[in-house]
Amino acid sequence: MVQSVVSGLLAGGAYALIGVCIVLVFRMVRVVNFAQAATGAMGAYVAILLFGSGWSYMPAGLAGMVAGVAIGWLCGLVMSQWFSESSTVARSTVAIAMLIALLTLGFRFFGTTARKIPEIRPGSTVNVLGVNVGVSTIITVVGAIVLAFLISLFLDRTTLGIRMRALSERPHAAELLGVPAKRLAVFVWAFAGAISTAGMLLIAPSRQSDFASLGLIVLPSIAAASLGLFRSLGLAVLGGLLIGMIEGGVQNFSSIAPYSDAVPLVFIAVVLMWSQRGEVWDASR
Amino acid sequence: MHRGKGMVSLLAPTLGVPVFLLLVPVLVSASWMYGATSALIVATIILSIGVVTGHAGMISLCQMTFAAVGAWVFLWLQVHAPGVPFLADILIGGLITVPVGLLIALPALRLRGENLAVITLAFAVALNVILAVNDFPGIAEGIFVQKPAFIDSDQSYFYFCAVVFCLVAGTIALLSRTRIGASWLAVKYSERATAALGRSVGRAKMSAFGFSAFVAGIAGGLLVGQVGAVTVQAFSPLFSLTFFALAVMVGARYPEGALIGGVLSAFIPVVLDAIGVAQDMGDLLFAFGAVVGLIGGAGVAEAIRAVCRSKLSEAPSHPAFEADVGAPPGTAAARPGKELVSSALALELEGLTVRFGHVTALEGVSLQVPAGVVAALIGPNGAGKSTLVDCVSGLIRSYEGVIRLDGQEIDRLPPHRRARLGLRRSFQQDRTIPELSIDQYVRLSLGRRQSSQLSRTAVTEMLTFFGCPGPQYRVNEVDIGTRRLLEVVAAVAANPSIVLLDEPAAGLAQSESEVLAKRISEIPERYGPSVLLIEHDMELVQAACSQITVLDFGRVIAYGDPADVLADETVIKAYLGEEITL
Amino acid sequence: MSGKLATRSYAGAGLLTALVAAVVLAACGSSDSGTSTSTSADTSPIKIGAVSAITGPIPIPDGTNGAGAYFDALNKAGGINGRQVDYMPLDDKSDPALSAQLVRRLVEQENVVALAGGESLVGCPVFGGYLKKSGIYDVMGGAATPQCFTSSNISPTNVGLQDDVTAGLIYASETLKKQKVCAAMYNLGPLNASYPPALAVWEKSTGKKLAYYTTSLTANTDLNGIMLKVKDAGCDALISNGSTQAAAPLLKAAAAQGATGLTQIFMGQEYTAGLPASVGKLGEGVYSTAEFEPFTGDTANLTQMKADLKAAGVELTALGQSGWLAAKIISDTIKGIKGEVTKESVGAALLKLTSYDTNGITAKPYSFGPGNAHHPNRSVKMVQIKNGKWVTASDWIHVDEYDK
Repeated sequence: MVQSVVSGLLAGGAYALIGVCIVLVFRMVRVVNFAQAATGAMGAYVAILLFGSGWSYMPAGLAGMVAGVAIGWLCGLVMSQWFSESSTVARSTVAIAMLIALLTLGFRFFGTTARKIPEIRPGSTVNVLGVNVGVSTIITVVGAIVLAFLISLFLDRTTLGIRMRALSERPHAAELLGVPAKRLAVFVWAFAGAISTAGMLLIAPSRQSDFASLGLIVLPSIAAASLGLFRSLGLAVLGGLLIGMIEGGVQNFSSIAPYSDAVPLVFIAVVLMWSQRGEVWDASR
Repeated sequence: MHRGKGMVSLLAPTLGVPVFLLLVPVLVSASWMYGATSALIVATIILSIGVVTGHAGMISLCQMTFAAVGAWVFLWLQVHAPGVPFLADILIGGLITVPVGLLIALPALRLRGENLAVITLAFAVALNVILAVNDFPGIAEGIFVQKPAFIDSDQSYFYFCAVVFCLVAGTIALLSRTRIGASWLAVKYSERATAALGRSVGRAKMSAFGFSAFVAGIAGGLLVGQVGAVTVQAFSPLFSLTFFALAVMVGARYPEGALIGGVLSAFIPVVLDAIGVAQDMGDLLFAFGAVVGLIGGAGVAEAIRAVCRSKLSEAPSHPAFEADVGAPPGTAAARPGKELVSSALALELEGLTVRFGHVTALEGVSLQVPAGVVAALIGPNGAGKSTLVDCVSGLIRSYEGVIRLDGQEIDRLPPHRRARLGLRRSFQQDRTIPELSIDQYVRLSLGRRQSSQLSRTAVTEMLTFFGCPGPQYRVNEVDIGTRRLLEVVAAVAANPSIVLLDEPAAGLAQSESEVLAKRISEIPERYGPSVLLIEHDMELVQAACSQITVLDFGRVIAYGDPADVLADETVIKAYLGEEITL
Repeated sequence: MSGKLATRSYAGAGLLTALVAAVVLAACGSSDSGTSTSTSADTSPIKIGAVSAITGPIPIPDGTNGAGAYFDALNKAGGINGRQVDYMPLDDKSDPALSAQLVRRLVEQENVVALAGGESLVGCPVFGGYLKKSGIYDVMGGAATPQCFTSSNISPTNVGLQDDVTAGLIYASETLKKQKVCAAMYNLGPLNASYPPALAVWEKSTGKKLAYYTTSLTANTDLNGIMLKVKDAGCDALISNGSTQAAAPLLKAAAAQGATGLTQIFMGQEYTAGLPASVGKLGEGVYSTAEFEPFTGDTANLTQMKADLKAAGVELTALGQSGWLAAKIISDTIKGIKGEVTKESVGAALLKLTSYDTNGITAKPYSFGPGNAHHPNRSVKMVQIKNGKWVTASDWIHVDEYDK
């Protein structure tokens, strides 16, 4: 049982990383980026292609992250140029359209052929208290925690970070104060593109790596972000790890193991309904 | 004449849709019938999204999941109850999907916007995996659904689906003219306003989800009937996402929008094939088109209708506030079945105390508004006036003290019940419902019996009295200042015991304010209710009211005759601050 | 506001007009294709269609790619009796509704004379009846669901999931002499119906039972969890049927969970030229079923196939072999028709085709013929990855001999 739970941590780490991206984008632009995992998957696939044509791991990974940045940048540009004033429905629809576009392009470019997925330390595991933990798992989990911590520091301590927080809480006031709203928003999207690429690269070796499945990792990541109501980075990390562990634990019981896809629903339902139980009236209207 | 043109602009799409569908098999060759049927089924799904998102404004990313439930029930009946006819199977499938829709509506009572979107998506994924593990009934055994003979060919099944589509679209059109449909639109724009109009928000949301699920469930049955077999992939969450985006793009509220969406989804792959582009590029094209379409503003069908309407009807004229309006046709009847309990106190507050955390917004406020009186509530900014109105109308649930309406304690009641009992209010910021016609908006605030008893002439008379355009115009064709007056009309039309008006003159010119003051002072005599008026405009207050209560820092600091109160030193100090002695 | 409203409505009107125009054009365009008639000196193209899961949740473009490669080479060499073949593979994205629609399009608008090479995962139950009603026949490339093998109008060239699984199990227990055979199969919707009969044949003929069995794998399953259970059950052989992209994660999970000494046996769709590279060292010793003569061998009968696939830039895969063979069969059948090439004459020729020599590509001759079930290919060879390459590991395993 413990082994199952621990083996779910790798996925949990990836959910945490992408969950952090979702929180960042939500705070900046007030939209749940349904296309976040697909963006990361695109970047990861670029890395995989380069790796397949002879590049070594690090340069391929970095090039993939650059691709993730580019895609994030493009999505951010579209969103902030034309939809910064739009309704929630319109913005969500655009995010969904981006997801569909990325899934289609991803399939088109990367097809169905099996490719060698690069891995940080192929096959190596560490034995912690009688449980096998993959090195990738450790890197992913620690990476997610460190990243959330660093981003929080950045938002708290640096001028740029404070500007971004101002932008996310009071966009109009911040703009009037001279904070470059569009540029910052696009910057956040691009950054999220890089991080989600890293997350996907870490999780891809152990998952069925067809594009659609990787893209749908966005749902448990959204569930992770929901723990902090799309606002807290730390809680998004915690949420991701929790969901990963729960999914791992569920695998242990063969009667409910096939239903592990339903874990995000239970998680979201519990978290959101509990936190919003007092919201009798729509806060804004 | 206006009415005629309005009818034409409405009738055209309503009749146009069935006529168009009737002509399709004639215009198009027989081999396209199958694809046209698929288009119709997608259009039906889009109609369901039109109900829950287009009308009620809630994001639902699980419509294909509802369709899956409908398909599941349909197949179950086909396999286990072969005696039940095909048509009944489809209908039962839709009906059994309704409880599932109501289940999803429960989170919608507390979750909104992205939160609701996320939970519906999670539900779609969860149900998808459940269906994937436990297959649809009969599929593993290789069942193939047989259609009854009269709809067995591609062409006849197309007609069948067309009939179903028209019935559904017609029902939606009818519903949107009733108070249920109006309450959906109301909930989209403001939940507080919906409750203040006497409609239960929860019921509006649940009815929207329930009906939407019904339509989607029927579409699921139609799909299985058409294809003969089905896999869980046909209802994948990705389809829910895609159809949602498509519905937003085409304007799912109206049947012509849904048809456009259906045609796009069914025929773009064909067009792509014809020009030699691969199938999956269709999705890319659609995504691109959705983004471009949304840039221009969502809803192709809505935009077209709006332009047609604006071309066919004129902009509302603003009847200048007429200084002298005759007596209304028959003075306000006594409120049916309700005698005043105590000696005519419309509203009584006793020791009302409201705390937000450490901040005390109201402390021990006591207030009495007799029947037939226009009273004012004034005070500097931050005194707690709007809090008081929110509290009295029921939007703030935790408070101390007692509120009595006509002598009856109403503290346990939610806002819409308080409204129905006879406590109406208007809002400080505009909370009218833009997409309704003025007539629909006013009638939304009435009970069913009241609405049938109130003639259109009476409504028009009331509107003119308050300086509003006629009932045939849309609320969004009217400027903000006048919209706030519409709130007053809707409140008064409900024949309540008391009307709380929160700064109704904001947005009016000085001369109009003067006339409004006169109108407000005539409300009790002319229509019945007492008035509690919150205002900053002292001239208006003096002209309209016979008693004033002054609040400062949440406490009542003065009460009584306008002349006395406004000359009171404490009141002046409260507004102007402490005198500075040099 | 009216300005923006006007823009939106003009955009909407423009969109509508463009759409209607496109639909009309498409309708006109394809109805121009007319009927395929032929006179003795006819040079008009022969139309052959296919409905296949080219994209979608489980994409398998190999079949139609393989068939396309055959037709390309054939056309370059002059076609069939001087007539070019116009091959139309359509993508149903594993959507039953789309599948039904596309087959109607092929038969009623494009007027194809036959279907060949398709690998639709959802098509057979959906258009089996329609094919019969329309009198058109399908030499299917990659059949999956049981209905594909029990249709009067379909005869697939491949072995199918059910027999694949049985063959793998038989090889594991009878040839490799494994004591604890296990199976971790993917949940593939309607294809799940193949698993119980596959298992039943093996259990009945060998008297053995699986040590661990699950059919719940999906793309999101945690493979580490599965491998843990496999290890706990003490399996020494594991059958699995993921896609090629699932191979590496599965092997990694096995290694991570310390399931050494486990012999892995994959199913036919994973037998591709590119798989060994994608799994690297972990793939050493992994088996797979091969539904046709393994292309990694050097047998002469595969030379043309390999050349055709190479010329078309198609990867060498078992599913591609399937499509290529289907194309060859239909072409040879059409070549033998005297007189007009129509849907009816092709159908008649196929109904007479009781034995087609595949020159060793399949163990036994292919056949169509009359009857309500067609399953000509029920034999499998085992291949294994050795030194990073696939090699043939066994002779033909005839599953029909075990299924008595």
